[in-house]
Amino acid sequence: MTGTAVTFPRDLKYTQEHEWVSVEGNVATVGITYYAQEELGDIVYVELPEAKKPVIQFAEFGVVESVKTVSNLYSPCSGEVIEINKAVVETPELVNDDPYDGGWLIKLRMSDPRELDELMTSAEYEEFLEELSQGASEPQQG
Amino acid sequence: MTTVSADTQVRQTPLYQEHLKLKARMGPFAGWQMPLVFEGTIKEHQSVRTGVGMFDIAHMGVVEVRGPEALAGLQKLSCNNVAALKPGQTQYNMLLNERGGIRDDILIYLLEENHYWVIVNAGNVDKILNWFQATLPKQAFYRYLLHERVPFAVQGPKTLALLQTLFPDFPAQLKPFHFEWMTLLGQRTLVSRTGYTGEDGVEFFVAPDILPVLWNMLLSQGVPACGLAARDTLRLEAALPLYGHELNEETLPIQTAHAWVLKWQKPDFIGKSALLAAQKTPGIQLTLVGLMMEGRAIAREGYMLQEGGTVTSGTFSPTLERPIAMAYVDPGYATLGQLLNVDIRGKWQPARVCTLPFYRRQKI
Repeated sequence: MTGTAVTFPRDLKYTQEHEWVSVEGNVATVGITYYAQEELGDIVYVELPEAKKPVIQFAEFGVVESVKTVSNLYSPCSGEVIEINKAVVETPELVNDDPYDGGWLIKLRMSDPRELDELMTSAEYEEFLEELSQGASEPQQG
Repeated sequence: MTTVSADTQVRQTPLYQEHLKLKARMGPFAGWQMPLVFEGTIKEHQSVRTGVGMFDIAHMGVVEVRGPEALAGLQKLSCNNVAALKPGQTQYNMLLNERGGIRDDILIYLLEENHYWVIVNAGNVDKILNWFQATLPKQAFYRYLLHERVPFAVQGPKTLALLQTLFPDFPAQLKPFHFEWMTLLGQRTLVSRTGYTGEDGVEFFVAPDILPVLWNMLLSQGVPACGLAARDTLRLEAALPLYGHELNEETLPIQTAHAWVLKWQKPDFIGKSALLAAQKTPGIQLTLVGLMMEGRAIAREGYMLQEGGTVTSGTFSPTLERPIAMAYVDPGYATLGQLLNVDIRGKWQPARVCTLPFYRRQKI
């Protein structure tokens, strides 16, 4: 189990759908969180948009599939796709092994950086996960 | 006084606490709280294909049927020939409805004359108990052995060698689809050379209290715990049908890859006349095929085919490292190499009809 510092990097912002975004100038790099890849299990397929495709904040931009399930990807911010991570398309398990670095998914040229204010900080995301786990506590036997 | 139906409770197996200790990902399955994943589905899958792995399958129902009319009753309710069983043998069989549809697919164990165990799918236990109540003859008595006999699976090519070293009493000469009694941790235990992974292995039927002891003993020997997710990828590679997916009350055995269970020479069994009628109108029923996807997107349960038909199970095959699926299609398309198109999120993705099973173990 990886420590908290690695699980919720402080320099990232987070969505309720468990994507992260890191920002450099007006370029946003997007991936899914450690928690998301843990929940999904072995990731075996990643479907990403083509370059130049416009994406809209909180709208679907792609799909990840694990052995067991399909999950939509939602963009943390609006903009235009400038690059996709070809390595994860070829080797989807990179998302499991290295969700915050080698397992990034797309880079966007942001159209409205103010949208980032609507995302969670690492502390807020950690709290959000805490609430999630309490909401989904083990069912008790009657 | 109010009674709570067993259906509305979430049941825990005798290994529930062990699963929590291992931090298994738990999930509901057929009214039970079951472990889905321990260390990772692909890793667990490969352990079973190359070595050994163990599965909590305590949710499966063990129903005893005995009495002077036990054989007669099971012959009428099932379509395979129960009379062919010798004591110590196990048979794959199906219970049908009057329309010839599949109520459940089962294993039948003959312990001694007119004394059987019927292993039913977890999701069908209540239905089958009701069906036995309504249909078995007066002198055939059934009993759900929930608190007495718990099924537990150890699977993989190294299973038998390991169990022989651990338990001197283990029947080393046990043949596939046979079972024997042995003493395991001081308890009389039934062990059968059966499974649901396409790999060699055994299933134990143990007293509930010794199950955690057995589990921890095997864990300490390095046997990895495997979840239901790996059980599903393993059985799918082996093209073993799963009730509720490939089989249901509307599917006829003649549509499946297991039409061999039908023994027409039996004088009568429930569903026989409906099946005979259905056979006289060929071409109307869809037939089960294996699909190998050309691309990497997975065709999952419920996805439609452009040429007609539906996917019943689909996953990523850890052994073949590509997506596989089973689907019911028009018999006209059920030829090897036939190109079909699956609707995956609004796009037609090509797939080819292939031979089943997807994986067959090397016989030694």
